[in-house]
Formats: sequence, C-alpha cells, structure tokens
Amino acid sequence: MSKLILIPEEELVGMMVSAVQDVFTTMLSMQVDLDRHESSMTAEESVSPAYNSNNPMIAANVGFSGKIYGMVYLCMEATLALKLTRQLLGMDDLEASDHETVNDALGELANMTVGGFKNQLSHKGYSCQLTIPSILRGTNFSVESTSQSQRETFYFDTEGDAFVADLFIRTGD
Amino acid sequence: MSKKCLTVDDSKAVRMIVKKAFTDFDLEICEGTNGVEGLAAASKENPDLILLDITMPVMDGIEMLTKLKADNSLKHIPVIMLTAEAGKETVLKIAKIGIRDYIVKPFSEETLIEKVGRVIDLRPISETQEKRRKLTDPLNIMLVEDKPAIAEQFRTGFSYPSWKVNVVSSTGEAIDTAQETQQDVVIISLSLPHDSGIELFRILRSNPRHKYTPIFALIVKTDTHEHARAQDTGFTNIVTKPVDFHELETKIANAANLDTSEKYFKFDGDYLLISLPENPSNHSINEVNGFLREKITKAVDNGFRKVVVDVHTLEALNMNVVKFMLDAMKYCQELTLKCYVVGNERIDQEAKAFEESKGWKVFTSVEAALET
Repeated sequence: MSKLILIPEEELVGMMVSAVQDVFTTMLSMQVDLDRHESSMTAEESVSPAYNSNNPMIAANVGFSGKIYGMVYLCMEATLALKLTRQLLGMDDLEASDHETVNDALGELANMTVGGFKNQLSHKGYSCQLTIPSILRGTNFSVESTSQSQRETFYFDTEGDAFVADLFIRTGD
Repeated sequence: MSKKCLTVDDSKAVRMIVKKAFTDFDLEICEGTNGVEGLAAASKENPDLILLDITMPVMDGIEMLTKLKADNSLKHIPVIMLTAEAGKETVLKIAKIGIRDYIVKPFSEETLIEKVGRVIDLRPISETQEKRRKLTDPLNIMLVEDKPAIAEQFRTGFSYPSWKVNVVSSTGEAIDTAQETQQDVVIISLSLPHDSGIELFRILRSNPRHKYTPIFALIVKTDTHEHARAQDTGFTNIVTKPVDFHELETKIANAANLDTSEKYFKFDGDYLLISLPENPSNHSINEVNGFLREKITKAVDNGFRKVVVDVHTLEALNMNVVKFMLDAMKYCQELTLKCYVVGNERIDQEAKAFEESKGWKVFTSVEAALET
C-alpha cells in the first residue's frame, strides 16, 4: 500500500532519529541509538501495542497541525522517565512520586523532539504548528491509529534503556 | 544592582533549566507560565530581558510579544525567543514584530548564557557578593601549561590548601574545563604551541561566563616582547617564570577580590593580634592599613580590650611602618583600647631613633605584652 506522506521513508526515519538524538545529546548529554523501525498503514496492522509492559509506563505526546497533521508519542517505562527528568533538571534526589515534575519534564522533552521533527517538515514545505504536550500514564496500554494516518514506530535505546517514539501522520484535507 | 530576566514558558522544566543556567551569575530570574502572566510580570518587574516561549496555553508567545511591543512602557524590553518552533514562517513573523535573538530548543546551557550575555551584562555572582571570600576559602585556579615540571610547581606552590589548581595542557581541554566548572582565576602559559595562549584568552573573554574572570599570562621574566604582547592583549596580570608564589598569591587575591585581612589580623582569646610580614612592601602596608579601622572597631564590638601589633619578624623599622603603627595606636586610643608593640632588640633600638616612636615600650613577646 502506498504511503500517505510524500517523503521517502529513509528521510522520515532520518528526521525522527536526528530530532530524538538532538534532544538527548543537547539536553541530557545521553547517547541514543535507533534499534529498529516499523511502518504500518492500516488500523489492523497497527493494533498490536508497541510498548506494552506490566511496569508503569508514561507516554508524552505532542501534535502538529497545518499543511500536515500528526502526533508523536514518546513512550517509556516510568523508571526511565524519572532517570531522564533527574538528568534534565540536575535533581538527583527527585522522587518517583513527584508526578508533576516528571510529567512536565517528559512533556518538554516531547515538545523539543516533535519541534525538531516538525521544523524539518516545515523546511520541506509542510509548515505546521505544535500543540501543547499531554501525558498518559498506565500499564499495558496501546495506542492505535485510524485508517487515515500513516504510522511510523521508532524503537530507541539509550544507555541500556528502551523507549519508543511513535509517529502518526497524515496530510491536510 | 542585579539584572533581572523574565522567563515565560508553560514548562516548569524549562523555567528550572533557565534558573539553573544562571546560578553563577548576578541575575534575578522571575517567571510567567503564559502570555498573560508574562505581560503582568513584565509590567511589575520591569526586567532587563524576557525569554519567551511560543506554544503556551491561555496566551501564546506571539500574542504576548505583539502586545508587549504595542505597549509604550514595555516595548523597550529586549526579547529572546526560546522555543521549539523554528519553522521559517513563524520565525519571519516573529522577527517582524521585533526580537533580539532566537534560541531553538533543544538548547545547551552555554548557548543560553552566550546569547543572554550579548543582550545584558552578565556578572559572576562572586564579584557582587557583599561578603568577600577569604584567602582560605576554596578557589578554582586553571593553569594552561604543557610543561609538566611547571605544572607540578603550581600544584604544590600555593600556601593555601583550599586553592585547587586544575592543570590542563591544551586550549581544547581548557575550554572544556572552563565550561564544566566556573574558574575563579585562569593562568595561561604564552609558550603554548602555535600562539594558542593568546587565542585561548580571546575565546574565554568572548564568553559571558569568563568576561570578568581574572586571566593571567605566564611568561619568562626576561621576555620583554611577550610582556608587551600580554599587556596589549588585555591579560589581567602577568606571572613571570621562575614563579614567586608569594607574589602570585597577592596578585590572585587582588584580582579575585579576596578578603586578605586574615593574613594580618587574628582575633585570639581576648585580644586582636596584628602581624606585619617579614619585609612589608608599601603595597602590604597599604593593604593592612585598609583593614585597620574596621578590625579595631570590630575588636571593640566583640568586647576586646587589647590590641597587639607584632613586628618582631621585621628586619628594619622604616617610616611607613612607624606611620602604620601610629595609626593603629591612634585608633586604639580613640576607642579606649590598650595597644602593645611586640618586637625585638633591633626594633626597640630603631624605634628610639624616630621622634614619633622614641617613647614606645617594645615587648619581646606577645605573652609578655599581655601580662602587663
């Protein structure tokens, strides 16, 4: 099935990887590598949860809209979210129970990541604007796409911890 | 007076990062979480700079910027955008409204400091602290020198154990170290290869973090050409090889604005002891004199009744020393403190040679003076 977005897949992958790496190296001084990438076009194809876990999970999502629409979920276990927040804010003693601070930090990391990705889209003629971030917490949840969107799931590794950047994207009407 | 920066961002994390970045500077940070709060804070605080995000609830950064620039009482405040929005159309739109700079998230602390430093004069907090640091307080000294023997001399040469010497051998290492840790003093050898010492000085000086850091040039004593070059470049001071560490400590203390009084004044038991060094230069005498009234007053405030001026290590008594001691005696008399002179036979003899000091009773030890 043909892709909805007229950007070659390898370019799209490169855009997301550089956006994630830019945030991790600049803000967190952490190395991040892409493990694998999956692409799906239909709701059926994308039903299986990409990041289910029995451990507490956090998904920070930020959308973009304009000539192109989409949403990115940065999903990870709560322990990694805490580690990233501590690193970002230089607060070694931050407690896991401080949901407000962790949510805010994860929201900002997602905002920066999606901002970097969206800015590359803008340079390719797909100008759009960011939405404010929101946070999803839980265990064993999945995010599913509608049939109108293209889904690109990126599995990353940062110093032994895994996380996912899940992109849902479609062109404007 | 402290500079003030207003950061307007809906993310608490970003506001915290901004605050953390300027911990070492005399910069007060105030906050707003959206455009409405930002405008109110700008009106109330009259900041020297605003760091402004774009995507925020209630009122976004573009609307706030538009309103700010339309307000005659606020439009003079410079604005730097700090945002993940860097699409060409957005940037052009904002540039037309009027901003000083644009920082795209993610951003490094260094970029933030550098760009803010271009708009307002950032001063290290140590420089503006009301309470000056003492000689015995921790001090970070970075030595940029590629010769291990000289580096070793610096590691062991200072008499204050709390002074930490970080030795680096290249300009790259120096820049990294200076970025990681705020240095109180930097000493750069001008014999580094490819004239890189001068280049390093210029790089450090152009960074707001090191704009006011004392930077010394380390050169050979007889190299007059390098002396002139170091002065022309704008180094804070010059250290010559072989290094006289006593002299260098004084230069560092002056450049870093350290409180050197503890070298000369000691509150001990129920008396204040004032000790002059072995061969006091005019500079030393002036330095001690600068603290004299303050310390004697403090002695009174602390309930002390005696002041001992100890000059027993002096090789000779000259008019500057006599004048200093007369000042000390005068202040003590004004504040009804007893003042004793401790010296040696030679000082006793020499004191009798001056009209002003011929009546002094010179004790041979502090204990003997205190017994009277």
